[in-house]
Amino acid sequence: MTDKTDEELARLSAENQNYFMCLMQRYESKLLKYIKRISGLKPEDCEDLLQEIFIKVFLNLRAFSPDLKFSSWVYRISHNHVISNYRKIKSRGIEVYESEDQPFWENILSDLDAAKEADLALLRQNINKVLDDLDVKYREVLVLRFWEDKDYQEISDILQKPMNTVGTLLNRAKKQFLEIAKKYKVNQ
Amino acid sequence: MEEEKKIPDGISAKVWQKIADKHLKPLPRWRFLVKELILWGLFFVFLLVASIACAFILLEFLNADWDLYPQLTGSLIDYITMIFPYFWLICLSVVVVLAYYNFSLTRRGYKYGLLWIFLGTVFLSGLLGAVLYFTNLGQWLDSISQEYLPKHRLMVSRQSELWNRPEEGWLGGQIIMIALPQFVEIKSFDNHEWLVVLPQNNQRVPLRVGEFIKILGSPIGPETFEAKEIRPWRSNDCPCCADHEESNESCKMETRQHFMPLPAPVK
Repeated sequence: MTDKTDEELARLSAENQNYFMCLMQRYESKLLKYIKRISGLKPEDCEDLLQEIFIKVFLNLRAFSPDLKFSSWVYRISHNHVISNYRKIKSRGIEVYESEDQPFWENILSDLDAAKEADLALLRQNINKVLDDLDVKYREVLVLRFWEDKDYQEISDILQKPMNTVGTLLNRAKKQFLEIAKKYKVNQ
Repeated sequence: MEEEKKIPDGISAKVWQKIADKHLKPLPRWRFLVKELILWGLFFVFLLVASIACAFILLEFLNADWDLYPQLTGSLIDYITMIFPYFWLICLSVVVVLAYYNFSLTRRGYKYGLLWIFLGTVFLSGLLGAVLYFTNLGQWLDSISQEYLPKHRLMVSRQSELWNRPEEGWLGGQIIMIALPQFVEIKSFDNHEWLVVLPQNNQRVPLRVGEFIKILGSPIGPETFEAKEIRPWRSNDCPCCADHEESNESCKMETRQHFMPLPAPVK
């Protein structure tokens, strides 16, 4: 089973549940982290969300179209489920997951050329607060680009937005990220 | 590898067990196909309504009395403002927004931006509207709406206001009685009944009870109007081709030649 692609496994899973187990194992860790990053929920809540997402994916397996990457499709379902859950709990207020992922730091800081704009050490210290202050639409696009390392096409398929809009969102997200980062530098 | 790490809680195992316990099965493919078909069906319905709106807008503009605007309103802008079919424009706008929203919900709809979907819908509905108009379906729809919605014209355009000034020589309305060869009785847009004295050589303009007409002339009594020219409400309608037994090719080429000369400009 390990030599099969995600798309092949998805097709087979619609007929045989055992194949779906393999798909879930491939995505469990990645999706759990993704959910934590964009939702900022407690780990146990994220796990509950992931269970609901996997069941949704299973039920909708026959809606999967091979013209899309399976990973984009599964991230799209996860994103939509998290956002719809986020809207429900919005009134309670959320906090961004405390990330310790080094690649994200490196990715986003090098892309933003943030060293010129803000003190690097200070920014690292406050990055979770900065992310917390970002609008959700900007946070999710930054997470997909710099944490999940998705390209524009994949982000477009996941967020179901045109490629141009993804580009615009990323630019605005970076701009807002830097503005908030500068604010923290001033306040420090 | 990150993905091969064992998750302590075993979420996959829990889900797998849940699927087995509840005997869950993937939803059948036809449900997704039906949903997609409904979305596309709705999109085409919206497109059709938008096309009808475009056909009516074309009908209004292409049948306007462009030769009379200096006398009717004094300026072209005022005339366009008066005859503009706002109702159909609003209708078109609403339907285009619905079509955009509907299209964006289709499987690949998200790939296209607002501008492209908007321009595409407007272009397609304009194209279909032109086809409707030039295949006479627009006129057919117009006559249907005229029959079933008597106040239809008042809703879609303020043309009726322009043709409801008998003292200035402009009278419009619906024929309620015909006493050929010399008289017809019409009900104007403010519900007054007028006896219209027909011009001598009007035999080629179709006069039927229920038809809307425009009359250029002057009042000769409190409820009597002497016509110098009679036009069908839609100026580009081709009355002799449509209503006369013998087909006349020339009238298809130039409708105006059937009408009588214009009166002197109204001050």
